[in-house]
Amino acid sequence: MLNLQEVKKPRGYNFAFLDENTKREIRRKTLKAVAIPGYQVPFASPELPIARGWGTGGLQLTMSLIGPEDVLKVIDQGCDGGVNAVNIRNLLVKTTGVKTTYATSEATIIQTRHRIPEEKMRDDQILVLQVPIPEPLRFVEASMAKTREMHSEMDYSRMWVFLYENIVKWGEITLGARYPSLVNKRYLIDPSPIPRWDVPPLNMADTLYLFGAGREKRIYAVPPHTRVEPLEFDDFAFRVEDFSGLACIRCGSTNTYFNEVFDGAGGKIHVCSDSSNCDKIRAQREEECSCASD
Amino acid sequence: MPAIDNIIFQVHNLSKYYGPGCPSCAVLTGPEQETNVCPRCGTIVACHEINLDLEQGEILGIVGESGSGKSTLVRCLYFDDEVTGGEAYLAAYGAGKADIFRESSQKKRHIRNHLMGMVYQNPLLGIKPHFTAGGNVAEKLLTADVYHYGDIRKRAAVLLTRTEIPIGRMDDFPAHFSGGMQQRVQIAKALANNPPLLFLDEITTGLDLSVQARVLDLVKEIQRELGIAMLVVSHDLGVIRMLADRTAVMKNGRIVEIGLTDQILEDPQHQYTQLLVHSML
Amino acid sequence: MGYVAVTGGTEAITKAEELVKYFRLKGDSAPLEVRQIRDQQRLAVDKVMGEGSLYAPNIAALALKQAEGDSVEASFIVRAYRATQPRRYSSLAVDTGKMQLLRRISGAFQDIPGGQILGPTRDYTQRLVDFSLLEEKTEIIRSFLQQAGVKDAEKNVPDSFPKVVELLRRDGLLAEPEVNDRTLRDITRESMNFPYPRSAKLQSLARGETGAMMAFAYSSIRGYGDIHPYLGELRVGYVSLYINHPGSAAPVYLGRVLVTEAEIVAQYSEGTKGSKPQLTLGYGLCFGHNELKAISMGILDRTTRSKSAAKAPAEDEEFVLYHIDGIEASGFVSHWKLPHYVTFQSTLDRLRKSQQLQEEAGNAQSTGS
Repeated sequence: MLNLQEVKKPRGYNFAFLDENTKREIRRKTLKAVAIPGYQVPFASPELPIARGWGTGGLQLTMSLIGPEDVLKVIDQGCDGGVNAVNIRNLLVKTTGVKTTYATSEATIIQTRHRIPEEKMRDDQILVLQVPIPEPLRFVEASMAKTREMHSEMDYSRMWVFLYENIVKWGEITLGARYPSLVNKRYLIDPSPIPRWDVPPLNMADTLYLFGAGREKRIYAVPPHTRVEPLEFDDFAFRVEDFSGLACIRCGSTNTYFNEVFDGAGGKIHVCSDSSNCDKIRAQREEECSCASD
Repeated sequence: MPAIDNIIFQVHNLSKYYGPGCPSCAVLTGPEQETNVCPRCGTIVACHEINLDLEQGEILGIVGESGSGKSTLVRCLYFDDEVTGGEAYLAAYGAGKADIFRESSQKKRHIRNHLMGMVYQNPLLGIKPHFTAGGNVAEKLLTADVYHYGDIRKRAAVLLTRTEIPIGRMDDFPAHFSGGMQQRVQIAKALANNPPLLFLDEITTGLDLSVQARVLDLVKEIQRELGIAMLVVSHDLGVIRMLADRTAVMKNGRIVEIGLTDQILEDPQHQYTQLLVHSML
Repeated sequence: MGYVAVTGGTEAITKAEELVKYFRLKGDSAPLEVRQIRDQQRLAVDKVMGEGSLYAPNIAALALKQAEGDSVEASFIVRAYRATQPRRYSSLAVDTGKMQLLRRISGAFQDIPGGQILGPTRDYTQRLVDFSLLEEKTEIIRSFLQQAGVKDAEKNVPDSFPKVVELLRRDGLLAEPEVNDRTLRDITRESMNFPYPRSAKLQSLARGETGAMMAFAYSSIRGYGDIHPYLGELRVGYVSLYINHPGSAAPVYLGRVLVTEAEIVAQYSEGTKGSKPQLTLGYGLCFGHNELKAISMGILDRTTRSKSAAKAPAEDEEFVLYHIDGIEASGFVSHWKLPHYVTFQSTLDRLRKSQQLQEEAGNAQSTGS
């Protein structure tokens, strides 16, 4: 007589939490996204034990891609130690047992919220970005049916008028993060709430960038060596954030993206947003200092 | 397109039916039957086998009363509606060899954005009230691939000035403009991309008489300056007389008479045209 | 048998009430203690206090017991009870900067003076079913409670913490309120017209149903509207209430209440050309620990101040304030359960007549030419 208890071993969760069928759907949709750069591919996106809006899209991508040999890095706002990053890292480690790292160069998969690592990534690494709102046209059109049509016809005129009206009213384009960018000269994407600073690294990179929106149920991709061009006028060029004259109080860097912090005494200080990169620069400078004093 | 070089736009047998259609529709409707509705199947024959052509720099008037099909005709030519049958050719597109009704929606949009302009009777159909006046003109320029902010501003300023909108109101919202001024923003927008072909659908209907006169003067001046070919639709023979070189008279979905405006007004041939002309105040 | 008229309504209702009681009590489990609900379902109690618009934790807990956990029903019971209470004073304005904090975070800045204090929150937990809760042993609970609890702080923890929005205000980045109306109006004492005075609007939002407010706030951040909000600061803690009393020179202390406060800062006030670009503030405050409601309230406070010509639903003050009251909404949505057969009969009559006319017209057409 067949004993089900013996045949079907009781187990907790599958490797990387998601069942294999869910992973399969995500992988197929990811391949489609890579094949059509910038196009938002719908996917089923079932619920996860982490809240919608807190990284379920990125998580589903990571969970469908990660293998036992991978080395994982998770950051939020550029920092490995933030509560959101810790929580996500815990879930992934609990369900996979993979090695983790804070060092960008050691990771094979990096899941990130709102920042791209300062260190240039390689072609053997994947960056998974968490996306709250995948639709760049949301600034000008609330209806998903209409934005779908606009993408299919490559009709981005309303976005352009929005930028024109910005300049008329404020003297310049006031969009900070989520800067609309054209991928492969065809699809307009919302690059997720990364600052403008992080848009140029997307262009003609060696790395595969994957974007996951869990609540909105969309996956899109910027494959390696693909053009990513932020919308700009011929006479109003795209500008990144201005940190001229400022330096990081921890590592002295003058060319990384900074967090502004009120120091409690009424003043302001600046710290690198990419914390592990900051550590790396600090370590380098200390080494140089000690070498110099030898 | 025929050998006559001057023809920039040609329409062959354009038909627009609303309803299932049946073999008797064409025969049982029309000016003689005095109806658009097929008694057999209930189909509305809005337009039936319309033929016309437009020469470079010419204004063709389309006149008719309600139900004549004139507005339907223009809507179909501007791709606001799908035709039931017929072909159309634009000299500026595909060397006049491609039937624009058979093109993909992306190509149709390209034709609309680059080669046509449209002014609706209701200005709020043609302009977006939540864009500024300048923004509306900018939209047309942007769809025509002008991506230089300074150039856009300059051209918008030129066009709005040309249509007698005070420059200080360029960054205001048309929702707060008078009807006449809204109409002029629409005209400025329609001209923004220098289209070879402009459609004007009852553009003065509903405006005060003095405002009407100003708008019509404007259209005439622009036409003289830029030599744009225009299709002007109106139920008002006075407007037609003022603007159009040639005129087509429509009734119940058909053209009953077509010719030089002066001739039509002085010596109308068709019974219905005679009725119209003699009813003119 | 001939037709027998419907009777026995009273008896049916009595039996129905008995059945409600039966369904609440059957199953042989130990009766719930109100204290248990207060202690172990505090968030449900807080929600009911907020929507019932009465700070009375025991009443709210009792109402939840009575309503078998139906939050809207419990809020209804609390509201009705509220209506019986005499209204004697209004408290002096509370300075939430002096709040005794349980929790205090900011989404707008990584670090804030005084620090990010997480407090009791599920935000960073994983929502995996916790089967260990199926059986909790009292000894284990007791020993856990003994070792958790107050430890001496390593350094002096300040009594109160500065507001993040003050920092923005100092930097000139926060716009002054457009309307500075500080008159106290009470929507439960007088009928109001739109646009609502500020105190009336805040009162309506503060007693709104959490789900409704969440839905409208969600719509506005998803694109039906123009808001790009950041959470300037979220606070959960106790505030002291004082009143002026003729028998005392100084204000009289009444007690303290637990509140949740959210300050939403939204990108760029709607300026006219040439005006200074600044952040604007959306304010949320409610009884008890209810972060979803406070944040939604802050967002809706801001969206309903929008000046755009084409308003999205969340930007329409009348639309929002009218539809977020849980007691009014649930009452009307449910009222279809009441007999409507008189009006329905009339509808049937019209329908049948129209069908008949259409049929006759159809027959005439086919038999005619």
